[in-house]
Amino acid sequence: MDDALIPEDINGKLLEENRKLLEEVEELRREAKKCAREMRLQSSFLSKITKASEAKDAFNSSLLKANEKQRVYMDMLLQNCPNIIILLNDEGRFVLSTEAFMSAMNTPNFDYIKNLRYSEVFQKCFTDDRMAYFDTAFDRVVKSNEVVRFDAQADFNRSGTPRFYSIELRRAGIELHNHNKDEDDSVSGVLVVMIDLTEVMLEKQNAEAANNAKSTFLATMSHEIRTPIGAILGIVQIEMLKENLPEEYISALEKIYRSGNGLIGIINDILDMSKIETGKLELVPIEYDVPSLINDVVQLNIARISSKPIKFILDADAKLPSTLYGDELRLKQILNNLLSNAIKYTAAGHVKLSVRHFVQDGDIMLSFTVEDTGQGIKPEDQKKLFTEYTRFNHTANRATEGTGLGLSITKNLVAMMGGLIEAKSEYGKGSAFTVTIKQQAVECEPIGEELAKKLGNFTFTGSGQAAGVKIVREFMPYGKVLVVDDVEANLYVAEGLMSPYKIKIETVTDGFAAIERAEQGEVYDIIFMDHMMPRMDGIETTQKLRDMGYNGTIVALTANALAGNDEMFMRNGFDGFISKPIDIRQLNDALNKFIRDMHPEEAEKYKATAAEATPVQTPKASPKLLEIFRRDAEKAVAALRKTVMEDKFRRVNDVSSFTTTFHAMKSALAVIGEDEISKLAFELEKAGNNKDRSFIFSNVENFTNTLENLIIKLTPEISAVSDDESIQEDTAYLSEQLKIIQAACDEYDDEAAYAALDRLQEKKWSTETAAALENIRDMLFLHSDFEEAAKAAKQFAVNNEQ
Amino acid sequence: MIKTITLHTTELDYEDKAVGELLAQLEQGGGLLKNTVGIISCHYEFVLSDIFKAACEALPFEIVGTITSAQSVPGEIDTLLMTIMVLTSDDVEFDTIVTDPLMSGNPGQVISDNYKSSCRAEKPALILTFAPFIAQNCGDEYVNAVTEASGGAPCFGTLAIDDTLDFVNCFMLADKEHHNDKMAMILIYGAVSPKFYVANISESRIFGKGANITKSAGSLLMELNGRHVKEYFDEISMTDAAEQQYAMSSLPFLVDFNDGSPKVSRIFVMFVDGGYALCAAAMPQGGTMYIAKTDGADVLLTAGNAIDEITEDIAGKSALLVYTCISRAMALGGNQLGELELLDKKIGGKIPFMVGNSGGEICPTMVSGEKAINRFHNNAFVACMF
Repeated sequence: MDDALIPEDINGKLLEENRKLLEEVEELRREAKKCAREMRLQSSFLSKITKASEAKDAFNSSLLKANEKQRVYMDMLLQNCPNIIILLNDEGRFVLSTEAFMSAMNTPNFDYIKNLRYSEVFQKCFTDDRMAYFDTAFDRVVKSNEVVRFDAQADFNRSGTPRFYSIELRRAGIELHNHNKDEDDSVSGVLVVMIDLTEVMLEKQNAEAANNAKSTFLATMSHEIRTPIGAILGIVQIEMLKENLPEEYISALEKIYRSGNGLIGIINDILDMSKIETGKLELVPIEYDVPSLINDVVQLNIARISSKPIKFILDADAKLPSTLYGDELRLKQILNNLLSNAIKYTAAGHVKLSVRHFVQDGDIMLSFTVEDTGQGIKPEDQKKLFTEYTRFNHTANRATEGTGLGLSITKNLVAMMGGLIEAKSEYGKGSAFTVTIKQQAVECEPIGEELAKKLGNFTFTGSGQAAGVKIVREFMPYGKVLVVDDVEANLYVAEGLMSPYKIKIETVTDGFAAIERAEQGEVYDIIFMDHMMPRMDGIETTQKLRDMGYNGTIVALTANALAGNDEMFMRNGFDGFISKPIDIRQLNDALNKFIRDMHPEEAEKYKATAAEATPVQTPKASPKLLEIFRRDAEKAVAALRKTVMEDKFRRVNDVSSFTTTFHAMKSALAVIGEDEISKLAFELEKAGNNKDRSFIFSNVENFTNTLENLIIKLTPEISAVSDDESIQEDTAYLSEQLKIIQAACDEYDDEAAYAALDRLQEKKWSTETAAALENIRDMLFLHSDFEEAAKAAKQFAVNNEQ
Repeated sequence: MIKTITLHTTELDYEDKAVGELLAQLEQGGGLLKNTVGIISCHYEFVLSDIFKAACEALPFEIVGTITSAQSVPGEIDTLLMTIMVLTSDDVEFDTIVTDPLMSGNPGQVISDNYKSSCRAEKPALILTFAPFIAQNCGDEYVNAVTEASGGAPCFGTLAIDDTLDFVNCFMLADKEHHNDKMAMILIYGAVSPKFYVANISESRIFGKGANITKSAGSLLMELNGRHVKEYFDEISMTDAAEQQYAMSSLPFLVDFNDGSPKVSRIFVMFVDGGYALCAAAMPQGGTMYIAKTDGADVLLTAGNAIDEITEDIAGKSALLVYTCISRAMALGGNQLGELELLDKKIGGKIPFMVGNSGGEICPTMVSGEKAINRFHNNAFVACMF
């Protein structure tokens, strides 16, 4: 329609309505926009809340899971922990505990004791004093934050059988991060941990009991075995003291002595091994004289060579210190073991002992090497050398003495001394054992060239030297001793060993009798008191004597090598200690110390007589050597007597002839083992060098008489030389029988071998031949060494035919 | 001395009306002094509806700020609200810097270069920092760059946050425009002594023991106590909680840098490739991390404590600017405006203030000598009063 056709007023109205409509539309649009905005906002708000809520729920769920897991683990810990762990609060009330405590208490549920004070629960479980200690411990922990540990027995289930616990109390607490200021910021209490050591204690007690039982068994066995062996050895020694015994009798006695000593050695080895295993073997270091140690060891082991064709060589360095600080006894044991092995497993050749030293960190490292030309050790056996009870070459060595403990003990001793032992060996050629041991240095001079040479001159070729102890017994008729021993054989041995001293000897068989003698006012220079006696032992007897006021010397005699050492005996009132079997040197030392030295005037009076006392046993030098000595001694006697006679008429100022004679005799006497007389010769030679006429003329008569007596004494042995010269040996028969012996030994037929040896014994042979045959017999009889016997027979037969 | 005037409008439809309200409030505030700058916090709707642009054109001073999900000025608290804190002074001067885009891969260098090319010779008394939320950047980079470039001037600010939690409309506002890739700074020169307050999580909310951060790469947490971080979370049964969307609202961390400075809070974002934990801020290798449990009660408690401290220090101060992390609002559940209401209630008319939610907070934790220890925070209530 045309606008001109629309009336103006109607157009205006329409426009106004249109405008209003448009405004309304705009307003609606704005409202719609607002609504949409509001909806968006609300949607977003709801979304945020939902997401936050979901996150929170997830977090709480996770936390719950985590807490639950922790709780489960905590329960597992509390239920399965084998120890008793209790948490008490600061008032001492039960808060928490492990199941182990519930079991110990025989309580089904912790609720029964929850919140109870510990004293209410523990009162009947601990003794009063332990309960009081627990109270004190609790207070200390709470107040001072200490950790308190103690042991106690507790009978939690009131069974009457308390158990042994190690108990610890300590503070426990944590800080709480609590935003609520009204609540406590921390929780604290006392943690009680109890570890049940009952089983451990029982095992410990059992182990101790077993150990004690073992020690007691060994001590008892040691005593029971050593006592009769001691008696045997003692009696043999007494018999060997007798003069003019037949050769074969002496030989048999020597065999018995050697066997007995061997048995003692075996027991000692077993006891030593037991001590090592139980850690009871202790070193006892003392200051000792190095040359004396070497000398003693050599002396002892030379005797082992017996009749074997073995040369013994000693090579000691002149720079060796003369004194050292260490366990001399154990050192000797080590050397004796090595030397005895070397000699045992060497049929012929040499055994050499070298002694050296070097300084390390201020200590002296002593180095001993024992080399031999013996049978050697196979390479595969060398690894097992130091293993206990191990011996090699069983067939050849099956009767060789020894338990196989020696090297093991040696190795342990060397290790205890901070040392090393090495072995080198070539089978069939020989072995060398080197021991390097740490010893403490002592301010001293080196042994020097002269002494080293003297030691080195100790070079022996084995020629049947018998075991023997060369001591001079001085007469002590002024002395009186009492021997207390419940074993009559031991009394017999003691009497026999002391009779040469001419001491008055009384014997009783128990401690009561000894006390009775003391009560009667008897006083003895020495009471020799056996250690182990029935009813009242030696220690108790000695204590009673001392309590009575008896102040005389009491020396313990003991076969018990385990218990007792000098310290123990000294603590119990003894003045000395001698082990059984009685060591003659120890006995001699004791008699000298407590009798001779206590009566100097009487001792001086009997000194001249003492000079006449013959050595316990003269060394058996070869007859040829003795013959040489005799001739020299006769010449010396003649020379000395002549000079003495001359001096009666005309003062002899020139004593040089004396000096020469004394010098010659000094060496000659030493060579045949007459050390005491040789010493006198040395003193006289010294006096001669110092032109001390007075000393010479005061002692020359005595010396000359001694020489004459010695010549007479040696004459029976020397006469064997002339016997040898008159013997016509049946060499063909000898060769024949030697071949039989060789064949029998190859077949291990000892009967046939002995039969041949017996046949040979019916004829007369030179000393040398007899000694060789005796050697073959020894190889079979003592060692069952068929191989060596066969070799020796073969070699002897070859030499004989040559 | 700074005079502070707070402006606000809820008008989203009529530009004239909105602008009229702002101008009237400005006049009511007694007019402007020689140097003026405005700090804005507003909902994104104000950008969409061009009210922001209209206000920037009408008001005679530079306006810089961020999109926020909720904001308040004295007496006014709302989500659909635009607030402007006007700082005006005769003796204090304000310089504004808008950086180049920060998406290049080295935002720290960009910030540093822009700062150095625009700043004065003297060190500013305070730097206010406003940045968009850029997911691939770590806020620590911004903070460290500003700290280093300024020679340790105290730095306070915020990252934008929208109310959808999709992080798509988190713009920085400056130059009358909204930016998603640039940062703006207000450098304040003159006699200004700012004081800072940080509240995050109560110590009592920490559970378990701290874990040593044995391996990390910026905000990527890789190892705790020498073990893979996922393994650690599994062991403490927190993996499920952590894998929840917005776990940040209930699973914050406290991190000790072990350099003597106070602990700062962090939030976990998500597990990424390799099972590593992406956090919303740097996790310092060699530091110690504590897992905490937060909730609305603790949010209000910690905020309330901070507000109490602020109240004690108010005398002689001109302005209070507060930013509080969106995760704290989420922890409040249905009471998302609770902190804002608390502050309004406690501060009242004592000091002009503006509070806005934040996607990441910037605030110093301590001053060491002449230098501030500026830190980037998550899940924190931070305030600057000067």
